[in-house]
This record gives sequence, structure tokens and C-alpha cells, in this order.
Amino acid sequence: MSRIIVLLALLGLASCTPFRLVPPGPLTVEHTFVVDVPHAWNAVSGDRAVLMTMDGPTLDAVVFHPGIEDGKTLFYKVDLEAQQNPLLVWAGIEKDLVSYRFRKDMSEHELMDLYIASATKMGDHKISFAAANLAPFTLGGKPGFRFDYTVTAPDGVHRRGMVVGAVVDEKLSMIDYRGTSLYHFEKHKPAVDAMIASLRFVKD
Amino acid sequence: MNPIDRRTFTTGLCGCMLSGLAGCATTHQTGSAYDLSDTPPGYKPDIHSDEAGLWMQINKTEADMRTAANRIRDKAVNDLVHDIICRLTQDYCADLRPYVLRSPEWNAAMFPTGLTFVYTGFLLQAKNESQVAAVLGHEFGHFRRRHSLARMRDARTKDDIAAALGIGLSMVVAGADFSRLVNLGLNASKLAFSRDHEREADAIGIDLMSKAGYDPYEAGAVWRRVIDIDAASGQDDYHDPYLSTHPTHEEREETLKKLAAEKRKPAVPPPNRLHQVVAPIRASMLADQIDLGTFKRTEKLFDLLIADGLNPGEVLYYKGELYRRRNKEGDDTLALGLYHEAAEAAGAPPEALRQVGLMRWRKGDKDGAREYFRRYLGATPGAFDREIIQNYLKGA
Repeated sequence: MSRIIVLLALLGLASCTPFRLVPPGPLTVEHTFVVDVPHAWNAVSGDRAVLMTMDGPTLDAVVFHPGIEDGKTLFYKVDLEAQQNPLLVWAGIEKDLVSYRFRKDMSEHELMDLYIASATKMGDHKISFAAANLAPFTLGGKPGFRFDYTVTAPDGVHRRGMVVGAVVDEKLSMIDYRGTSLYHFEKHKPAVDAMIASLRFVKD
Repeated sequence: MNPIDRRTFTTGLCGCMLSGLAGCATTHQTGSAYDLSDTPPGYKPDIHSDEAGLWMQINKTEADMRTAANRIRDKAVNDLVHDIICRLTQDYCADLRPYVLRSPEWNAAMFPTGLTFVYTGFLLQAKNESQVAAVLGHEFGHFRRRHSLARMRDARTKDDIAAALGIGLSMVVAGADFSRLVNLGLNASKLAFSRDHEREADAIGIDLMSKAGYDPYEAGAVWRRVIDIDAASGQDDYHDPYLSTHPTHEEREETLKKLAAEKRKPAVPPPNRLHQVVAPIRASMLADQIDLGTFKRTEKLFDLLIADGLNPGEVLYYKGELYRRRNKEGDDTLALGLYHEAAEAAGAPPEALRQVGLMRWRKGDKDGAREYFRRYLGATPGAFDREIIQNYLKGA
């Protein structure tokens, strides 16, 4: 069970939030961008992210990270300073902790590093990422980046993933898609690719 | 349904009492916590004993550890740890099963079943093989003296006493609840017992490492490094004399120094294969330290590793990463300086060249950046980010 909890935490999924059914059609994510969902999908809002899955979040998951602001962490749970006791901070007794935060002028390498370091922290260091194929990518008509990765979580299942993202109006938006290497990644990839291709930013 | 007769009732009552006693015989078969003999080589506990229950729990943990995703599979690293254990423990070698786990925490442990784990954070921090031997020797001291079993029995006995005293005192003073007061006293007693075990294990460990040809002075040096890192982080070893499980780091350093003086220095240089063996996984160990999010502690550790002089370029690069990620005022400049220094030092990863390029690009020095991007691609023919670097070279 603890392995599943680590895995769900890694996906930024709040454990008590109920799933809802997203019908086919346009889906606006946190007033930041719109994607066309090709068929009905299960969705749940998590920690600064929205997760969608077809067969269950441990098998396949699309995670939208919409509009992360300059100076914010990718997930609230990895904002170590925000979780310090304010009274102790006021008294000058701060813990020796520094969070890895998004900054608007980050390079593509730094954005990839931010994602991997944040996800590793969310997984309590019990997961292992290997990134590949960092390349330029156009997301919603904006210059961005993409990379592939493989990840091994405590449940021992090998998963493949890909991330696309762009910094628009000084805010970072990313889409992370992952699934089991054996089956689910390839199963849903065409639908996810179509969703990514349909993305447009709300201010456009 | 027929009413129960007297004979059936009496028989049933006797049965219940007997089964109750049998239950007592199983669950309260504790034995003493205080005069346990050493674990002999090849030891297995009686299947009906409380010790067997402890082993069963640990075996479940080992089953998970065997297939853990963060288990280090590098054969050379595992062989080294196993060899150090065998040098220290001789006849017990076959009973001890080490697992090296990827975790940035500073920790290692040996359980009564022989399950042993070593975190990579501990291997990274160790200055040499003698320091690894000091800690594994200490852990073997716990194993041989059966400290886990002793602590389990001691805790159970004291919990029984706490319950009896709590009830007794409450009967004397009606309405009063003494259970918290009694628990406080007995918990302090349990922890004092634990601290004594640590002292005993330290003495056993230094004796074994000395006999195995390691430098006994490195046992105290382990704690000097821990003290220095704690001090740098602003979190000195706060020690509650009643509620700490271990003696202070300072006490351990001092005691181990005194014990080392009683030992012979090794006649030949002690084995020191550590850094050569962990070199292939050292980059991930350094990166994991940064992921912990403890800035001052990690900076101090990196400074100590740079001072050790082994592949300083690699550590300088990760120190640059530490500053870049923190991103306070001036950190970019500090990081760029460290990347530059790393790029020209021994053992630097090619990524140091790329980071110099990216930092220079951000600062507007595009020609200088392109020079480092070319060097990076030259040093990394199969670079996973070739396409994006070539974009920079084209002037994107």
C-alpha cells in the first residue's frame, strides 16, 4: 500500500479527492489553456495539477501543470519553506531547507531538471528517473520544449513518460504523460498526442 | 438449545484457563533483556520464541528490500560492502546479507536476522574505507550482542511495570492518573538502555576494525565529520540527556579517540577501495544530496569532499548546481564560477561545460556560450540534448 501512496504522491494526486468524468470536447485547465479531449476521460484535481487517467493512475496518467508562477514550486508539497512553522521563522529558528522553484528565465535544461527533481522529491526519493531526447517543441503556438523519460517507482513497474511544456506570460505550463512500458503508454499515446496538438493558451 | 450443565461448564472453564495459560506461555515468553549471550555464527531462534516473531517481521522487510526500486545493483559496490563486512566479522560472514540502497540519508543498520542495509548517503560522506568499516563494525556489535532483542524485551518489561504501577497508584490516590508520569520515567530508562547499547557497539566496532587492519582513528573521525556538517547547518547535536537514543556525537568522538589510542595502528596501509568502487554511482549520489533540499548541510558536505581531493571537478559541478537551484541574489554568478572551475578540474562531467554555456547565454555572452556548447558536444557525442544545443549554436 505504501508503494501505491508514493506513486500517487508522485503524480500529485490528492488522496481523498473524487474523480469526475470529463466528456469529449474542449477542456479548459485552470483558466490557462484549452485542450480538446477526444473521448470521455477520468479526471481529478491534485496538488497544483490536474490528472486524467483511462485505466487508473498507476497504469496511465496525463498530468496538466497549468500556469506555474515565477518563484513557485511545481507542487505545494515540495515547497519546504512554506511548510516551516511561521513562529519559529519569526524567531529566527529556520530549518536548513531550500526549495527548487520555477523562475521565468529558466532554460529548457533547467525546466527538465525542475520537473525531475520535484517528482523525485514527491516520490520520497524512492523513484528513479532517466531523461532522454530533450528537444525544442512548439506548444500552443509558443516555443517550448519536450523530453522523454523512464521511471521506476517502488512498485517495481517500469513506466515510460514524456513531458511537453512552454513558458508563456512568465508562467510555466507542462503536460506530463506516463504509462506502463509494457502496454499502457503506447495504448493511450495517440489520444494524448492529439490533445497536446490541440492545446491553445487562453489569452490567445 | 439445551441449558448447559454443571460438568460441561466446569470442563469449559478449565479449558479456558488452560488455553489462557498457554497464551501467556507464548506471548510472555520473554527471557531476560540483560544477560543475553552473544549470537553464535549460524544462529536461528527457536520457532516458538518471541525472538522468532522479531525475525519474522524483519524477514518481511528484507523481502521488500530484495526487490526495492532504489536498491543499488552495481556488483562492485555490493561486493565491496560485503567484503568489508566479512573482513570484520569472519565466521559470521555467511549470516550477513548487505543491501545498498539509493537514499541521500546518512544511515546504515544491521538487524538480528543478518539483514544489513547501507544508504548511499553514508557511502558518499565516508572519507575512506576505514570509516565505512567503523560504522559496519558498530552495527555488527548490535547484531552480535543481540541488542534489538534486548531492547524489545526491556521495552515490554517496562511497559508491564508502567501498566501495573499506573493502576496501583491510581487505586491509592482515587481519581488520579499517574500513567503519564510513570511512562515518562520508564521511557527515560528504556532510552538510557539504548544509549548503553550504542556505547557497547562502538567499543566492539573499533576492536573489530582494528583487528581487520583498518585505521582505528577513523572511527572517531566519522563523528567529527558528522559534527562539522551539523554545525554548518546551524543544527548542532541537540542532546536531551534523558530522551536521546544515542550518546552525543562529541562523546562518541572522544570515546572512540581514546579507544583508538589503545589499539595498534595498522602495520600496512589499510585497504581503501571505496572511492574507486563508488565512482560510477557518485554523480547520482551527489545529485540526490541536492534533492534533499538542505542547503548548508549539503554545501558543507561538498566542501569536505572537495577538500578530500577525489574527483574535485565532479563535486564542484554539483556545488554549482546547488547554488543554481537555490537561486538567491548572486547565486547565478557563484554557480557560473563553480561550473568554470569544475570544467577545468579533474573528474568534471561534460555537463559542467554545458552549464557554463547556458549561464553565459543567460547573461548575454552568446559567443562565449557557443564555445562551451561546442566543447560539450565534442565531449558528449551521444548527448541526449544535442538537438536543443544545436539550436543554441544556430543562434535561436
